[in-house]
Amino acid sequence: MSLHFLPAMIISITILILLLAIALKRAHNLAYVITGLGLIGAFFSQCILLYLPNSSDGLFAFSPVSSLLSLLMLSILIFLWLQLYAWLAKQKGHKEEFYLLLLLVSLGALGMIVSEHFASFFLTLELMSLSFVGLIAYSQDKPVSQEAGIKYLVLSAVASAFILMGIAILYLQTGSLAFEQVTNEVSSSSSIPLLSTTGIIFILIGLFFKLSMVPCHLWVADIFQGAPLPSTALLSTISKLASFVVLWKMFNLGGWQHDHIILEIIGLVAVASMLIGNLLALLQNNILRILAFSSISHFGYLLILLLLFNQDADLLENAEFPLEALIFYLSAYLITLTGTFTVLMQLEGKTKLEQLTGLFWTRPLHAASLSVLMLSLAGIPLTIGFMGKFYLVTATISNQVLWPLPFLVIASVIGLFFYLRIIMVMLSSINQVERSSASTTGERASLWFIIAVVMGLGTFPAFFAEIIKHTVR
Amino acid sequence: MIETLWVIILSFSLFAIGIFGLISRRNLLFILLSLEIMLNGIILLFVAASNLHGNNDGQIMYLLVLTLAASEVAVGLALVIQIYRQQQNLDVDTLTKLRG
Repeated sequence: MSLHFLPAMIISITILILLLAIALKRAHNLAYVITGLGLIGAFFSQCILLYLPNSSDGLFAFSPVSSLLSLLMLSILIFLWLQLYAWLAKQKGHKEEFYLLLLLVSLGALGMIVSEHFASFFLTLELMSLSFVGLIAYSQDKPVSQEAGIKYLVLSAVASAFILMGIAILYLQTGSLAFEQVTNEVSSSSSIPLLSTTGIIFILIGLFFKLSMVPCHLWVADIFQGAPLPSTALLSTISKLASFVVLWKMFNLGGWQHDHIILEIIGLVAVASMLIGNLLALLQNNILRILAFSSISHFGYLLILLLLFNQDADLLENAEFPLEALIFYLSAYLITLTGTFTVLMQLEGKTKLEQLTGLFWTRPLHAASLSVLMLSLAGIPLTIGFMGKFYLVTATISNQVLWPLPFLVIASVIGLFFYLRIIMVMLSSINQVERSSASTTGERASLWFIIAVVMGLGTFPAFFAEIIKHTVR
Repeated sequence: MIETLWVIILSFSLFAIGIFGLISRRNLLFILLSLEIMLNGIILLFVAASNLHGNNDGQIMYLLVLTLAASEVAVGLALVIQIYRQQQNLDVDTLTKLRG
């Protein structure tokens, strides 16, 4: 039993304690405090484990990179947890189980980031997605959330069936379930056998469903709109982070990039996601639907980076640069998205665009932070989103994969339109100024924190970039 | 002893039947059933591959997939009951409250 399991152990113990606490005494404050202590404990133990050497036990493999990604995930979880109490207090029905499901999701995602065996990958994936069904269908006074829940259930079941079929085919070909052994067997032969290609395509389709890339993006906007806001925030950050890490791990280990069929599929999906995601977002009137479609296009940009691993051309003479770019872009995007959902949660479910009209005159701080976040999503300089995009383009150019760049530019220009439209709506003047409830100190502090992080890391990215560089080496 | 090839063909046909049912059926219960058929096809492939290679990994995966199938149905049926209470039928085409 290595020390590396400490964060996951802390979260498991917290889950058990929380279960007992709910059985003995139902109290919202108690569940909130227990969850927070567990998450913060896991965060600090992960901090200590950050620079331990690599270790692997066949099912899970730990490295500084996976520790950094877990750290990013835990900090997002803690930030969302801080907002959760005020949001849940306004809801009807039982509130304690929401924390339980949140912890189960974080346990699943933590395991998924470090998994290196198909059995552990599959178990943690299911732990995460089945808990998400509960989180999405949680709201009792909102009938649409059940509809979103059943849609997510069917989607995730199809995705896991495809992933399992891919695993079974790879197992049939190689006789092993460990990531490394499978990829070694496959890449040791001179050309990748057709059966393995089929298997990896099945797994890719499943992961594309999880990441809602373009041919598999049906219903994703419905799920975003129907689910309770914190669940949507978790779904769009934690679940996508974990799925993308697995995708990266498979591409980093194996020589899948040298198979032209897989290369073409990834390229097509990336370009289609960028363009179609942004085009679909143009005419939406709900900010959650806009975020759903913009997340499709952001993961389209990220998918380009997968093509860069194990490439020969390298102008920067830094073989780890694509990985640095990947971590930077993922963190930039996820931090921005977490901030956006925080603002939306504080606006008490005002998600339609017309409800945001004149927000600058009624709640200036909320409107200002939402504008900064939208600019960051669009990739305007002085925000963290711009630095992420800068990294991505630099990595693409240095590895001489130039063909996706025109599509990236076109998609970003389309994206600007609807991000700026949200800001325009908030700026438009209204006749009667309704007095809105004053925001609490905690709310204001979190908003200033979001603005500081997004603008600060966008203006002075060196600090964050050094951490990533140090970890990747 | 049945040849592995036939088992593989059977498993792929079960998977294809499952996908077809998923796409063509409109009733939520039948969609859940189709998912089960897909999972059964996968289980069969795992067991066949395990037999072919002579190691037990596939049989462990069989147990894990079976657990997944059970828990998925448990969660799914709970939601199906909720949906039925809301709209008195289980047609997926009527699940259209969420439109942008």
